Amino acid sequence: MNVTMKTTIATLIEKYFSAETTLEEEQIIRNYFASGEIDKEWLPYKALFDTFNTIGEEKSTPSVSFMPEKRKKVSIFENRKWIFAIKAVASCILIVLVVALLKNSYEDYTLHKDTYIVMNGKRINDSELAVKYANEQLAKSSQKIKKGLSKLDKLEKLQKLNQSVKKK
Amino acid sequence: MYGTQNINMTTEIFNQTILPITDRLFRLSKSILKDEERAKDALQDVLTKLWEKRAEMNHVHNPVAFSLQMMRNYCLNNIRDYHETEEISEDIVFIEADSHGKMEQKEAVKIIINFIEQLPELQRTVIHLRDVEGLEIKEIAQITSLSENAVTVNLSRARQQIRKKLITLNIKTA
Repeated sequence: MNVTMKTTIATLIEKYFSAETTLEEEQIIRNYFASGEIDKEWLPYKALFDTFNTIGEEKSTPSVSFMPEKRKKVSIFENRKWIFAIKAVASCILIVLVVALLKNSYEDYTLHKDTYIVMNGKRINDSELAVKYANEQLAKSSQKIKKGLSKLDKLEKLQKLNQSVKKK
Repeated sequence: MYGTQNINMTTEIFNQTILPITDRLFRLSKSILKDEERAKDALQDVLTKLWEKRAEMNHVHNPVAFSLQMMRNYCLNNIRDYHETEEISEDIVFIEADSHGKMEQKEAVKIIINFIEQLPELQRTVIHLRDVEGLEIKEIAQITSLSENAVTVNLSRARQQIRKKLITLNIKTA
């Protein structure tokens, strides 16, 4: 190493320790210490720049996979927002339908729970009244049947007469 | 449609600017916290924060400095939360390498890392950002919220402190 080079490096080293060097000048120092032929008295400085390089080579390897995975998760969620919305609306409709059906069948069930009759289109739940009304109606119809049957009596008389005529 | 496009764009910016500097973020957090596991946790938290803020990143002038600043602030809060007083780490036992009293280059590196760790946080961060990460004084000023002049002062103090200790090292010629 020539003398000019050595003085240049010596000056740069002094500037370096007073924090007056630019990044370019610091690169010159680094290149010098990486070159191999180093003045013995500067060996500790070489060790210093080696240390900076060693620290600078350290990687965050285990954490590198963290981000893409995380990113994927978030973006999928954002893309699926609409699917979630549609799903939510669909389940609401389904719930409404099920509730309506259940309500309907429950009303049917309560409708048939007790005896009732429909009188002139009006529903009557009072069972006593219903029985009374039913009896009345049945009596009416039985009277009508009796009336109808009484006419058959004449036919019976005719038949007897006819039989007696045949005997003679 | 516009919304999705916008998100994709910021995702791209995030992937291009932030993901390549995860190692830098990790090294800074390790330098400040001086603990690998905590540094990894800090990295995950800060990356998550940066991801959440990716939309704002469009307006950030220097995303790298912005991210490093966020990392430093996160680490300082982390130290505060742990109620740690400014670390006064003890000198490691001086290794006398071999019978000739000279040490190998590798051992010297270990010892110098310890020298750096003994610096106060601000000096440690400044020398780390400059000499390990090769940042401009202006960028370091932004990250540390200091004036450029204050950065230079802290940098020279850190370097001189280490120089003093370097002289005590007796390194063997390779």
